[in-house]
Amino acid sequence: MRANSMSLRIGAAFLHSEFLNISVYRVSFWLNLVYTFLMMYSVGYVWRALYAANPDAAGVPLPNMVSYAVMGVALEAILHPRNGPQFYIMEQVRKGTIEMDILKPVDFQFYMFTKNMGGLAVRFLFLVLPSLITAYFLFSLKLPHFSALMGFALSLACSVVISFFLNFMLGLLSMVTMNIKNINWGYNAVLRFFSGQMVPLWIFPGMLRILGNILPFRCIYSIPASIYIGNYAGMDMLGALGVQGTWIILLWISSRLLMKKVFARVMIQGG
Amino acid sequence: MRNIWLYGQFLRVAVLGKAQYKADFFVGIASVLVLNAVNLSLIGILVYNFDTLGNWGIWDLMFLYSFWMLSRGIYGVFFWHLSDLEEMIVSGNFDAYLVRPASPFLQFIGKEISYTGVGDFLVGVLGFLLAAAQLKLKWQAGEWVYFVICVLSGALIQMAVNWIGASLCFWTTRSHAAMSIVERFIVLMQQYPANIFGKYFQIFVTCFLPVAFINYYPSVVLLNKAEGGTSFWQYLSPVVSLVLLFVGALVWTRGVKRYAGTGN
Repeated sequence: MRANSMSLRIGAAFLHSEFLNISVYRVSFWLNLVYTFLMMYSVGYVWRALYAANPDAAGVPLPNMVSYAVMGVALEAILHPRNGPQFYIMEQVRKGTIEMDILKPVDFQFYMFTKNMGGLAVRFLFLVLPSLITAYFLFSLKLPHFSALMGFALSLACSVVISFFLNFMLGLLSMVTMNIKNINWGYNAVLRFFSGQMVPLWIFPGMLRILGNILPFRCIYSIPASIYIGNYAGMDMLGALGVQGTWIILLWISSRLLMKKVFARVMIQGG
Repeated sequence: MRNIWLYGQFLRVAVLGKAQYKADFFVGIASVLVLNAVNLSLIGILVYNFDTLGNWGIWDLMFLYSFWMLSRGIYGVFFWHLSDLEEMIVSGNFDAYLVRPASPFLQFIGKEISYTGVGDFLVGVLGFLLAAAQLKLKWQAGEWVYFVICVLSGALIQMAVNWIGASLCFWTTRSHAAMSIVERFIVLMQQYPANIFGKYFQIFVTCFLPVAFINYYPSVVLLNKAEGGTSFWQYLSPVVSLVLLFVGALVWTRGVKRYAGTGN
């Protein structure tokens, strides 16, 4: 019990310091906001142009589709791999100061998690929320039913955790390869494609759709956004949340195993 | 004349410098190919489902995208490092150019060459050949000449826009942020035909930030996409590029003068 309340306190401290870190970069904050508005504006137009030619092809009404797309843009501020812990880990490895992080009297993964969540909480409050409010007034984002909203919130929390685990494993890789810039680049491309961020998975042709449904990436954008627009309701929503929960457990176990392996290797090398 | 020879020498040195990192070269090209494949497949899936995007079919869009890639490849190889100007000014490295007996612009432009542009260019060639075959383009010599000129002027427009943006840091010392917004804007713009974004947007990218002249208007002309016939101003990409270059040269010269004058 004591140990628990202590790790909570440590977590809160990391969260606070991360908040201070991010509030320093004001220019990049405004830049991000302008970029997000621009993107929300344009994805709306792309979908309107597509629906003008063929209103039934996507299987959902246009307002829902636009909401889905706007959501994909707004969530990028927290779900883009550039916001993960992997670059911090890589930098520490290169500077040779990673032992300082590993030797801290807190579990390394938990430390990275709280540190990352601090950053994401700030980004959520100052980037995602303002974007969504603006989107409601300007870019025809519609409000969902209460149950969909609750499901969305829960599902978004799961996406954040899943995205953290994937990013964290990339960070672990950097302890072995020293450089993950290119791997991260490839991961970003795969994520953009199979997460359904830009184009929803359900309009993918045959094999690609099956592949997209097997891979964990759809947990990151597609599931929360689909719940938001009411595409997954009732039992479907619970099923989708179950898929996310399963992936959380699977990724948690595999990241622990990977961490053990990588640490063993790093220790042998003498750090 | 001496300047051209000098630029050639600078580029030779830049190429030799890059040639030390062969693995970087291949990984760089490969990642450009992957990114383009993802972009193209996403557009492909959309149009596969919906047939057209504002009267542009799938191969029209392929043509539009490849056109941009061709010009972006050329721009990228020679001018990608324009955005380094901020860092050079902040660190003071730019001052070295001012004391050497050659134009600072030439030294700055010739300092580096970037190979990711080669990947973009390859995608452009491939995409163009595919689209041209599928669209059954039968061009006369005139259209080929216009096509080549427009690809070059597209590269120059991108260069000029970034040149102007980069030069701003002679006044503000910071320009990277603004440049990256414009860059993202261009990336977004060039994948879709500009007419789907509504009238105001189209006016903006035609008159104020004329990036629609990079690939949109040339494609409108060459694919005959204009409703009610092509208007004369849609042919004007080469003129726009020259005007922008002129503005760029003006801003740059004033910037350098100001920078050198205040003793920074």
